Amino acid sequence: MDIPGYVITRGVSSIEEQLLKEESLQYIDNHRPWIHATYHSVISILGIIGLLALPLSFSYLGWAGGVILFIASTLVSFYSGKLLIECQDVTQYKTYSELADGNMGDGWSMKWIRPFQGLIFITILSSSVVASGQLLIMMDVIQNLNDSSWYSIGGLMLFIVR
Amino acid sequence: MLTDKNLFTSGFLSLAPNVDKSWVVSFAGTIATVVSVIMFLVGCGQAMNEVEDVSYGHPDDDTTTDYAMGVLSSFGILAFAYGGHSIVPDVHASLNHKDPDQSKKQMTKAWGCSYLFVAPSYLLIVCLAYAAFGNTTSSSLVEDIAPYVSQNFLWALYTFALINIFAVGAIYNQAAFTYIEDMVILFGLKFCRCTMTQEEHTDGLFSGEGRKHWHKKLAIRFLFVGIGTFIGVALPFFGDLAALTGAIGSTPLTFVYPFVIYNNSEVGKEAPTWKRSLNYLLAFVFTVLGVCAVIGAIYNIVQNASTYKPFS
Repeated sequence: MDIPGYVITRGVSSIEEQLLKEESLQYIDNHRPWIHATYHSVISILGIIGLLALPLSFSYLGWAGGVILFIASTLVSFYSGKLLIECQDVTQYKTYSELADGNMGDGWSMKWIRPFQGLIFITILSSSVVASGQLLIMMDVIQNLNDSSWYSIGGLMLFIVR
Repeated sequence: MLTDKNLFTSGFLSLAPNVDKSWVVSFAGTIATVVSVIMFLVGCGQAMNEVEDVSYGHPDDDTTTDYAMGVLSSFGILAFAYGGHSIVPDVHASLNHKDPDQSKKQMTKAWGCSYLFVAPSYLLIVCLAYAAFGNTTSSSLVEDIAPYVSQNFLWALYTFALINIFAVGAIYNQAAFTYIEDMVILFGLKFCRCTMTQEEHTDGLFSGEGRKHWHKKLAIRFLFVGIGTFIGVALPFFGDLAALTGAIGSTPLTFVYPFVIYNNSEVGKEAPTWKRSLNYLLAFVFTVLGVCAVIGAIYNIVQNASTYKPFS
């Protein structure tokens, strides 16, 4: 049967097929449930490492100062996170640096975002190694391994978990 | 054009198993976090009953300068505790939505829920710990409560804390690997004569077309974790240094740049003037606080410098 404008040849139909496939892929929105992002967010904020030193901030500021600064930091960090989410078009920007470059101009993140981000990543990694090593040392009551080995085990476990 | 898109889609789909798996780690981490928060609260409560003569004034043996610097560095501790923003865009993107507006709604909901848990947990722990220990509070809450709880309780607490630490390490390392691979693509040829293709970058360690080059990814992971472990163990002043780098790193990413980026974005440019002004004001105020925190942290390192011994 002849359909006007629709020529069935082998080549064309394969392109058609590809287009269909691509379209169907585009419209399959196999997104994750939002609760997954909640788990990630909780973990990204509340690390035991950050929590352990937190009471120390009150010992200098006292009750009034401590509570005021705490509430201010909580509200502002919540608000700033909300703003980050609001201006992130997920179809274009996948990371903090891409988001910054997209809004501030190319190359901005290289000067202003990446140095700080790198500092955070290495700080969190090293603190995790130290903290996990210390916890393992405290759990090792028989003391059959020396401290450095426990730190290395902590590092190795961080290498494996992902 | 067609092939590019196809490559992109297939690259993106092959990422899925990774994301799929990582939520399990974060879920386990969240459960462990909830349990350890409760245990910290119980521990602080126990200590509150037993500790007598708690004083809430200036720490006893501190000079005025020590005290002033302590006040300055306090914000750094808070900034580090709230500094999750460096990977918020990564988490947002991991939802894998095709519709940006839907995605924003879902992520805002997730963000709100996580704060509903995190903020009260922090506040309760800080208040109970301060009520229990007053100005003798140390920089490690575990050590503070250890004398007042049973050994079994401590072991359970250590275990849950470890799970939390590994989950945090996992999610930050994931973001760090993306970050390092980006850097290798940008600078690799210049510095080490090696680089990655975009496909190798988007594919997982053992999935997709990039799996043939898994050794590059493995090398990056190995080097990064190795260097991190070495820094943590070898530097004797690591604790003080972490307070400094934590303050320097998280203040701008959490309390300053989001406002600047938002005000320069399409959405932000249409925002009412009061909101834009408020954003700039907050960015300014928290820059000042951040600088104070850095000064306090540097003072701390200088003060303690005489007591440092390597590999201790």
